[in-house]
Amino acid sequence: MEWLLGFTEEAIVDQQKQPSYARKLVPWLNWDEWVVVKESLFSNSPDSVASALRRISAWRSRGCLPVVIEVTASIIEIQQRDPHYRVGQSNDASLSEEMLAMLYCMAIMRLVNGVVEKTRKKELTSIAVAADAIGIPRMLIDIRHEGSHRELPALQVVRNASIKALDWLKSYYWEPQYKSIPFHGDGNTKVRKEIKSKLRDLAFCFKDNRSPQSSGSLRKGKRVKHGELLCGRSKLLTLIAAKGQASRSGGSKKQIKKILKSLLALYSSYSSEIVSAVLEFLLKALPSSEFMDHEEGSSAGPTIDSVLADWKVIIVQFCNKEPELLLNLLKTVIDLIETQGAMMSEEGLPYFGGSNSNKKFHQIEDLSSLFAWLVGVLSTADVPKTSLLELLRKCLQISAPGNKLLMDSALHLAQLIDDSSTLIEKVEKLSLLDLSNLDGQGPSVMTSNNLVLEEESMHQAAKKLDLLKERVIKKKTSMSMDGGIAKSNRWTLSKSWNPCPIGMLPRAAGSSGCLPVLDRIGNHDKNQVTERKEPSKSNQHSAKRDATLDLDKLDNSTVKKMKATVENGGFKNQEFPLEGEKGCLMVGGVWKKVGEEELLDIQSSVRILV
Amino acid sequence: MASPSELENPSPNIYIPEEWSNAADSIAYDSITSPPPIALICGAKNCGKTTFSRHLLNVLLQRYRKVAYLDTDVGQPEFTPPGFLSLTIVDKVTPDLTIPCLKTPERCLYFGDVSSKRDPSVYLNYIFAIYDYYRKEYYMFGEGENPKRVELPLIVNTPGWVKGVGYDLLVDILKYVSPTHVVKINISAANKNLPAGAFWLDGESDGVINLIEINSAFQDSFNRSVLVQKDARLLRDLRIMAYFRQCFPSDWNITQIKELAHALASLRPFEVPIASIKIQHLHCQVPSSEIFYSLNASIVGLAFDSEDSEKLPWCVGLGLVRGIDTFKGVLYVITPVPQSSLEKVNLLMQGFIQIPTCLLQVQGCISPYMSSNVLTAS
Repeated sequence: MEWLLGFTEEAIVDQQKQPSYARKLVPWLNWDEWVVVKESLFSNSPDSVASALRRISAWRSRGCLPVVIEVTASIIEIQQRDPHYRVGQSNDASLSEEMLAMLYCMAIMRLVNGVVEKTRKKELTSIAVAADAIGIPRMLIDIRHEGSHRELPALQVVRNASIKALDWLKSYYWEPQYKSIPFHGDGNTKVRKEIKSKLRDLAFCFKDNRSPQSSGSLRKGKRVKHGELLCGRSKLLTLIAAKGQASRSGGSKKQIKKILKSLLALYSSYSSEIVSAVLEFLLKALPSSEFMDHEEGSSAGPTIDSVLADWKVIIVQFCNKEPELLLNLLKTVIDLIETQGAMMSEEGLPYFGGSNSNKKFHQIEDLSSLFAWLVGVLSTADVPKTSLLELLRKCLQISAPGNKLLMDSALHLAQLIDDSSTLIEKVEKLSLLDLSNLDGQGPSVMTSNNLVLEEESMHQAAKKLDLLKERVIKKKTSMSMDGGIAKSNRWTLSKSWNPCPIGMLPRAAGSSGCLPVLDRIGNHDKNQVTERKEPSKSNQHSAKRDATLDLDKLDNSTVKKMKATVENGGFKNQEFPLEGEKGCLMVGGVWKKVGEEELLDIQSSVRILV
Repeated sequence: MASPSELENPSPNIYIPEEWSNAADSIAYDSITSPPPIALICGAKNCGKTTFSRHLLNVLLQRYRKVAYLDTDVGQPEFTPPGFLSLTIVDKVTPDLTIPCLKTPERCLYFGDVSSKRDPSVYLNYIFAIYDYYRKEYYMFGEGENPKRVELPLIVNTPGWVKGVGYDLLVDILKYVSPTHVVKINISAANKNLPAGAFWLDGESDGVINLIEINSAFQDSFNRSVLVQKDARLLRDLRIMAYFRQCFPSDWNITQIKELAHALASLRPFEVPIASIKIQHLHCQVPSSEIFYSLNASIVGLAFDSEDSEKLPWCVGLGLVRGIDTFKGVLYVITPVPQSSLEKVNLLMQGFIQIPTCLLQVQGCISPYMSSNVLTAS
C-alpha cells in the first residue's frame, strides 16, 4: 500500500476561494439542535440545563466548538456547583469558597483571552482596548488581570462577574446568532410559507413561459384563486402579495433555475414539507370527480393531464435533480388512499358501489387518479427502478377490489420496473382476477366463489410460510456451524448505497441524504455499548437469540398473523426497499433468498384474502 | 552546484549539503552491522529533520535490505496520516525526497492529536511500547533465537517541539531509546536550537554515543538558516486526503479534491453493528447519551482492544464514521483498510484529528456540519 500524495496545495487554495467557503465547520448537526441547546442552557430547569451541558460536551469532543459556547457552558456549569444558586439542594459535596472563586476566575480569564484573541487585530493594542472594542464589561478585564497577577478576587466579586459575563455572552453571541439563523422560530411555518411561495413562483414562471402573450388579468385571476386556496382568511393580503410576486417572476429560464435551486437546497432539510406542499397544490388543481360524472370523467371536461401539465414540467425538472421527490409524492398519496380506505371500512361503508356520492369515495377516486398521473410522470423522469418495487407492493396491498385506477397504476409500475419480467404478467393476472371478481359478482363481495378463492390462497400462504421456516432453520444450522467465525462478520460492506453527504444517511433515491437520529435508543442499546465486556461473544449471542426468536414467531403464527407482520413491520420502513424490512421475514439474510417474486406471491396471496 | 551525494540526484529541488551526506554515510558505514545503528534525528521546527531522515533512509537501504523507521512526530508523520505513532519497515528506496508517501506501518498506535502536549504521558508510553516491539522483533536477539531473523537499523524521527515540555519529552525519548547515533540539526538562530553537546545525559554515560551536529541545509548570504515554512494544517489535510484516496483503485482518475469528496460520498461504506464495537474518546469525556452526537462524521482510529488492560490498543488505520443509523443499530465507516484486517477491529478511538473541511462541502453534497449563517468574530 503505497501512494503518492496526489493533491496539490493549489487545489485546496483554489477551493477555498469558492463562495461555498462561507460555510464553517460546526459541531452541531443543524440549527435546530443549536436552538434546543440555547433554550435549555438558559432555562430554569436543572434537568434542561444538564442536558444542554451534556450536548455541549459532545460538541467539545468534535474539536470545533466556538470559544463563546465553551465559556458559556463553563460558567453555567460552575454556577450549578455554587450553593448560592442551588437553594434547597443539599450542599454536601459543594466546593470551598476559594475553589469556587478559582473556577469562576478561570472561566472569566478564558472568556476574555479567548474572545479577545480572536478579535484583536494586532498584538499592538492592549487587551483592555481590544476588549472595550467588543463591549466586554470592564469588570471582567479587571478580574482577568487580578486573577493572573495579583490576589484571587473574592467569590462575591467573581460570582457577580459571572452573571455579567453570561449577559454579555448572550448579547454578543447567542442572541445575534439566533437571529441570523434562517427560518428560526415558530416551528416550520416560515419554511412552509417560503416553500409554498417558491412553488407558486415556479408555477407562474412556467405559465409565462408557455404563453407569453397571456394577459396580465388572466394571470392575476388565476393568482387570486391560488391565494384563496392557501389562506382564505386574509384574501386581501394574499392578493397584494400575489401581485408583487407575479410582477417579480419574469418567467425567464434563469428565474426558474434560481427558484428550483433554492427549493432543492431546502429539500435536504425540509423534504417532507416540500412533498406536502407540492401535494397540496396538486390536489387543489385537480378537477374533483365529485362534480363530474364518473363514467365520462375522462372524456368530458378538463382531463387531469391538461390541468396538471404545468406541474408535470415542474416535477420532472425537480426530479431530475432530486428523484426522491416523486417517490415521496407517490408514497404519500398511497398512504392517504390507505387511510381513507381504512376510515371508510371503519364506518362500515361499502368500499365499492353503494352511494357514489360518498365523499370519502370521491377522495379515494381523486387520490387514485392523482396516483395514476404521478406514475405517468414517473415514466418520463429518471428515477432508479429498484425503489419502485416497494411502491408496487404497497399499491397492490391497498388497492381495493374494483379500484381500476390503482390496478392500472400497479401494472404501469410493473412495466416501469422491468419490461421483460414475469412481474407484469403476475400483476396483470392479479388485476384480471380482481376485476373479473367484480364483474362477475357485482357489488356483493362475499360469495362462495370468493370463499373458495380465499381458502386456496390461505393454503398457498401456508405453503410459503413452511418454505420460509425451512430456510430459517437451514440458515440457523449453517450459522451455528460457522460458530467461532461469526465474529468476523462484524465488518461488512454495505450492500447498497446512495451517495449522500458525510454525516447523513442515504435516501432511497437521490443524493440529498437525510439527517440521522443520534439519540441513544433504549437502555438495552446503552448497555451493549458502554458496559459490554466481551464484544465478540455478546454479539454472537444476540445474533443467535434473534434467530430463535424469529423462528418462534414463525412457528406460532397463523396466516393472519403473517399478514399482520407483513403489513405492520414489513412496509413501514421505507428507506431501503429490500434490506430495510424489519419484520419476521428478515432473518439473517433469508429475506433476500426468498426472492422478490416469491415475496410478491406471498403478498398477492395475502392480498386476495382482503 | 556540487552534489557529493552518492545517490544520483533525482529530486533537483532537494539540496543535500556535503555535511549532511557525510553524516548519513558515517551512520550507515562506520559501524559494524550487528548491532545495527539506531539513529535519532532532532532539531527545531522546519530545520530539515524529515529531509535528512529520508536521505539517511535511502543511504541505509544501500547497505541493509530493510530499515525500520520509528515516527514520533504525530503532527507530521512520515508514512502515516497525522495522529499516529508508528514503526514502519521500509525496503525500497524512495528516489524523490520531496514527495512524502504513505506506507502501511508494521505497528502503530493512535494518539489522536497533532501535538504530544495533549497527553504527554500516553505519548511517551506509546513510543516506548513501539520501541520495545522493535527491540524484540528486529534488534538484539538472544541466544538460541531463530538465526534467520535479521537485525534492522532504526531511524527515529522526532517532532520539532524542542522547548518546554517538548524538550522534556525529547530527553525522555533519548534516554529510553539510547541511540547509537544522534543527529542534531542546528539553525542559525541559536536560541531556538537544542542545547549543545549530549544534553540528554545527566553525567553518567553507558556505551558509545555518536553525536553528530550538522547545520540546516540552506543559509543566506549572512549565514542565516533559511527555513522552509510549511502550512502545517494544509499538509495535514493533504495527508488525510491522500490516505482516504487509497479507498479507490489507483487507476481511478481522482486528481481534484472535489472528485475525491464526491467519490467518498458515493462509496459503499463498511457496515458495523454498534453493539459489537466499543467507542472511546481519547481526550474527552463524552456522556454516554451523547456518544453518537460526538462520533458522527468524525475520524477514528481503528483499533483492537483486548480484555487484558495491560495490552495497548494496536491500530490498523483510520476510519471515517460517515453515518450512524441508530434504528438499524449500525455505523457506516469508510476506510482503506482491507476487510481482512478489519475483522479484529472492535474499538473506535476518537481523537482530535479533523476531517478536512474541503471533503465536507463539495457542491451538491454538503455535509450538515458545514453550516452557513455562522456568526464569526467581527
